[in-house]
Amino acid sequence: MNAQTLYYLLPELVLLATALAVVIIGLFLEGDVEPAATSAPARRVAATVAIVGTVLSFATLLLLIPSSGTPWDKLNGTFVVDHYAIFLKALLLLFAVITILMGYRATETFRPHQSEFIGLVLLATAGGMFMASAREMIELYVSLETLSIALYVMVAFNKGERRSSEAGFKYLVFGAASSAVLLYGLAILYGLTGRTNLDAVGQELARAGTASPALVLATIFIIGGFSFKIAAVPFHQWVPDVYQGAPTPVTAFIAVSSKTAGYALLIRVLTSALLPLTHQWGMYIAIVAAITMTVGNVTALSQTSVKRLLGYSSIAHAGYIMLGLLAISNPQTERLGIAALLFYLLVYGLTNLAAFAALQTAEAATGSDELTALAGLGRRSGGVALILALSVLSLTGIPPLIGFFAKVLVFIPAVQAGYSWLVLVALVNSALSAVYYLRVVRAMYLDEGRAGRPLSVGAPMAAALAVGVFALLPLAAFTGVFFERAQAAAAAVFQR
Amino acid sequence: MIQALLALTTPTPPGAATTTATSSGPGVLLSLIVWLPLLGALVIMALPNRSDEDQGRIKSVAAVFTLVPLLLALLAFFSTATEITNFTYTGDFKYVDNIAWIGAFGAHYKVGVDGLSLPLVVLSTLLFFVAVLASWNLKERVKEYFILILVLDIGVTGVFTAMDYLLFFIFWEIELIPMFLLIAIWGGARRMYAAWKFLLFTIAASAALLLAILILFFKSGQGTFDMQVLAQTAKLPAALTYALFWLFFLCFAIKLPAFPLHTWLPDAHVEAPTPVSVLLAGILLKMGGYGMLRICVGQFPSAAHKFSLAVLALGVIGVLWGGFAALVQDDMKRMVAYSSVSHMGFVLVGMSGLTALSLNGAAYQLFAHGVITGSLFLLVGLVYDRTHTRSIRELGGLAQRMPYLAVAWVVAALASLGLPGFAGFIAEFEIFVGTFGVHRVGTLLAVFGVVLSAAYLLWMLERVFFGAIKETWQKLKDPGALELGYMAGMLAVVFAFGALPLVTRTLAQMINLGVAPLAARAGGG
Repeated sequence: MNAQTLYYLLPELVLLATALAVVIIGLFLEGDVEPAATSAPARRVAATVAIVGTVLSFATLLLLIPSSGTPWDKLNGTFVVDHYAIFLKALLLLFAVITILMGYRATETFRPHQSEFIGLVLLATAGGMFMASAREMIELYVSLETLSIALYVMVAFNKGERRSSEAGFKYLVFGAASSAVLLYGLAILYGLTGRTNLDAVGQELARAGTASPALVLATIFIIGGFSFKIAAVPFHQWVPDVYQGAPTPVTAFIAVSSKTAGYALLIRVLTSALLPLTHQWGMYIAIVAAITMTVGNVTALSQTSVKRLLGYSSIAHAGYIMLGLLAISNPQTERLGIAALLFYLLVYGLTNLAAFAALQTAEAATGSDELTALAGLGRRSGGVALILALSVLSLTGIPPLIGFFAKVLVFIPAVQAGYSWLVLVALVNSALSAVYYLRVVRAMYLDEGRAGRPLSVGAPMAAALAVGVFALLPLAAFTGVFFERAQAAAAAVFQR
Repeated sequence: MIQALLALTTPTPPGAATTTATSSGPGVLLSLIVWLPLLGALVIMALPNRSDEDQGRIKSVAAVFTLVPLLLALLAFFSTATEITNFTYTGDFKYVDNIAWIGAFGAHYKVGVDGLSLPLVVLSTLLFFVAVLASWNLKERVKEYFILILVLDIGVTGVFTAMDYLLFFIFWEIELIPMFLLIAIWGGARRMYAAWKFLLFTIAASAALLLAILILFFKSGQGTFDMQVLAQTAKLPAALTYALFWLFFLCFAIKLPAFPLHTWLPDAHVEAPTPVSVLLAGILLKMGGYGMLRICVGQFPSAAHKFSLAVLALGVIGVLWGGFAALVQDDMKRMVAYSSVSHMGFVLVGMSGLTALSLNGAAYQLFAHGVITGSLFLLVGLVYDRTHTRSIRELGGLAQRMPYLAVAWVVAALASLGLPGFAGFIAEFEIFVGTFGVHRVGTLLAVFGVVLSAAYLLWMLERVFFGAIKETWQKLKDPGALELGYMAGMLAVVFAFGALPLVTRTLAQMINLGVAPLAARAGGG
């Protein structure tokens, strides 16, 4: 550990320091039993410090870009800073800022733990950032747990509410089980190769040549363990309950950041340790992807709660995103596939954050997350309704919204890699998904609802929504620009 | 007569003139036509909507942002027309704007117009402006309405100008949601049914289109979505060419609409508010016809040749089916809707001929039918606004109280039934003459469609406007200056492009320059 090491860890260190600072500030500024009036300044200070810290962390991240061309993996090869890691860290920081903005008003109900909530967002993001750089089993697991444990707490943050507590418990149980499965897989892998460094494991496996049954088992366990984080079959059952029970900003954060971090790690493992086994896991992932998207979409059809609906939609999207992984099986398409996947994560993240931000605004006014509560929103609050409508249409993949480009970009490499049948399944699924996404649009614009005053949108929420609006429309015109960044990131992950 | 028409549509440029390079015009002009409505939509979004004054302001903004594209389109049209008269225009794409977009897949933002698409751009900008004027009395949810109309405008003009398959698809899809909402929110009593039916048919069409485009992209192996490049260089196995032809055909046949995929159209038309019907019949159907000519014939000439009999059959069935259905309708709007099915069948007939003349006719028909049916729907709307019924049986003798409206109706109806002197005649005549040499029986059957349209239109006129006036309609008055103004404008266009030699000749030559390459590749005469 020397000065250079600290330099490369700067973004994470800044974020962790901010997280601690936010919690300590909260300790001094908000007491246990103070009335709401005196807690407002605490919230403001905590949120401001958090955002400044995140922006600082982002700035230090940008400092690292020039040196990231040659991947740097000191700390005994456990921590790598390359274009890939930086791309994903930038995404995670962006998502964290939006989540904090979204949660600004909602945190009022978390009194007297408002600043802890913000601190946890930062802590979870730091965990996710470590995941993006992890290249070693122990670090991989520790960073994954850093993210997960922060999330377990956040899900149950409305501790007075039964649904939130239930969601927290479910999330914990599923999380622990999937963690165990992942650990088991990693342990077998270690047993077979005697290495913990992912690249070294990959080299050992390539040298061994044949895939033993134990190895196949380990592969399935590892991918299965990650499927909890990315909300794919078979560890997807927690999604609807947790999405509905958790406070909405937390739901958004789980839907976006947790999934992004999960994919960050999964891609790293698949392209290093498990790269020699492409043919073994290729078909497994293809089948899981087909089941995941179908289960997500079919179940979403019958949902009446918008949060649950978005939960199932998140499962479906986990399936589409997996198409990008399949391109790894073909050296010709691997970079394009991963680039498309990374671009999809960006698009999916911003679109979902916009949807949840709009939904939260509506929920705050109506007190319900049911579809019927959205009735008449188009008349009542045109802007919020428009954002929610655009984001669900974007999730459907209707051009010219950005979601369409994200989908086409993952479809193309998958076809080139020889998975045309799966792309066909995905196309059918996309068409199917239009039915339930349009139900949201219909509720807002066509169903008669109670008249009411326009929804109140605070400045922080307005900022979060503005980012969403940018993501939904103008981003499409810059698809080429962002996709080039994603391509650079994808090239880095294959640099050995 | 035939010789005269052939001479009309085939300009004979002096040999030297063809070699001189033509200025292709600034690409920004076309991009402005496509994207100005977006600016208008954003401006409207920012405007308040509380009082009548606010609504007036919103309508003015919408009018300005549809009028300016119309003027720009006319500028492009007339400067091209001048080049045609001077024999300096060779039929290449003009006003091309080409920007790299998604480098990894060779997708470009590439727009441009040629003789086939430029008239349709003029048509759509014209009808959008007229549709805004026709919506001047709208009171309900004004802001959303005009935003949706302007967004629709982007999609439609984009489809006619896109030169990149991916871009074409994007523009094609822009139309979907605004049209759905326009029918579903401002429509008649059964609007939800009609809107969902429209949506389902259109989504099916889009799925076919996307699938076809992706297959074309992968199998051609050129790594580009460029329409011109793919049309010239894509080497595909015959079976795949045929499959792709039918996939594209399916999409465009739903939009056109061709029998038996036309059932969404009468419902959508009857429920849609008048200006939306005008846009639907006047332009959205033309997207289907344009796709047929540009892609089904332009990209897959061999398949178009092989399946020309099937296309002809679908066209003839459409002509007759639509005509007979129109004959028995009591609802005027439904009658006009079925007449659209019938007249769009002529486009398929012309396409099946694959001769230069028949393709010219099909393209001319797109333009002519856009203006004529647009006028008819406006007229139905004007009658309905005053009588609150569209039932032919309940009306009668209206000419006594609304003489101007009756005159407009008679003119539009005569134009629609293909009377010489109006734009529709030229189109239908070219189609029949051009196709007759190839498919004799089919053409004769299709000609019977003209008889049918004379029957249902004249019979309707007689029952609605002439005869004894009913007590209920004694107090009716002619429409105001605004309505008569835009009606006169529309009918003047119908007349100008059918009777004035210079105007007609210019349009015919322009279309011929656009269609000639298609005809040459299809191997027709």
